[in-house]
Amino acid sequence: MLYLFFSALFFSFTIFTHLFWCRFKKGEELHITSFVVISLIFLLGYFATARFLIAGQDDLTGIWVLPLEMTAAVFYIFCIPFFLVFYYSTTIDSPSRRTIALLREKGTLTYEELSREITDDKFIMTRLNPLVEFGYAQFDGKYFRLSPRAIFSCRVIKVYQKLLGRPLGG
Amino acid sequence: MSLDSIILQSALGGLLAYLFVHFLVFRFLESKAIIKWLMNVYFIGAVVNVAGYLSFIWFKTELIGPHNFGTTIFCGLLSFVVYSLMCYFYVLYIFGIYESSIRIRIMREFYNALPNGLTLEELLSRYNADYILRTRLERLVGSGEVTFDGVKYHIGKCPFIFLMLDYMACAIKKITIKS
Repeated sequence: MLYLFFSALFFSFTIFTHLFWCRFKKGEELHITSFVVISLIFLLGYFATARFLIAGQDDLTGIWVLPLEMTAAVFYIFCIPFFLVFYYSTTIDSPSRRTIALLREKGTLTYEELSREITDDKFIMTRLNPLVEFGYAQFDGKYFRLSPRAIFSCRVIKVYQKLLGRPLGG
Repeated sequence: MSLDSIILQSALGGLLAYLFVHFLVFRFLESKAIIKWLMNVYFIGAVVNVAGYLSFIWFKTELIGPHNFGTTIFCGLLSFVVYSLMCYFYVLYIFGIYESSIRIRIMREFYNALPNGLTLEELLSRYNADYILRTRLERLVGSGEVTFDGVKYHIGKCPFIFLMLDYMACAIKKITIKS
């Protein structure tokens, strides 16, 4: 229990440190790398606490000192992507989320009314432009082409598709 | 074998069962059945997770102590939480990205056009907002989060995931935006 407690405590420190880091950084972009770095630093903090503080607690018994050092570390590691989903969603709008938000706001909507809100400009162009900006696609003024690293990613995804046996998603 | 490895191995066993059933079943599913089957497969994996944990404990009673019922339950719950986090990671960062990421689909369209490129018009003729809306509505109606009466779409049962995402996103935004 102590291991879990410290794992949760250090992960809370990670979240708060990162949120305040974002608050004092310029720009509206997502700070994913800084989150990962901060969480790794606090993970080291957890391991140090686990080895030097908890392991030496001979006076505690029962559920408090169950030897769960690795379980608590795995718990911490999987909390990182868990939190990142919420963090991503502050800037990236998904069509499903938008549809639900519209229906909650208006009550009922026809397909045509919904399609006025789910447009190419809002959901295709906002994804296409960053692909070019971050070097996954190249644009020569007329044609879009994949960059070599994006071709590699697509090959990996194609292998996954073969395993899964499903048509193209999207 | 330590208690740590029993918890992690039974969680991993649950995940492997989850992946096995997932790869077996999902090739036959239509879009509208996906969300429902994600939950079904999750429960199947959870049964394997719990069964694996209990069988480990049965043979390694000395790790917990023969009469410590509370500790057994606590470690079982922990194993279940770790299994759930692993499934969550797979669904959101691997399957979810494949199944519903717009960026990945755009990249796949460019990949299919290799060695040539695609103009914007060609891309939009293959993949566009209309396609996105249709598949999303199909999934949402299939999961019951949205209902359709033949003419209009209505909000269905409480779309918990989306409400939670909105709530958390708002909270994070409030904290990170400078005063």
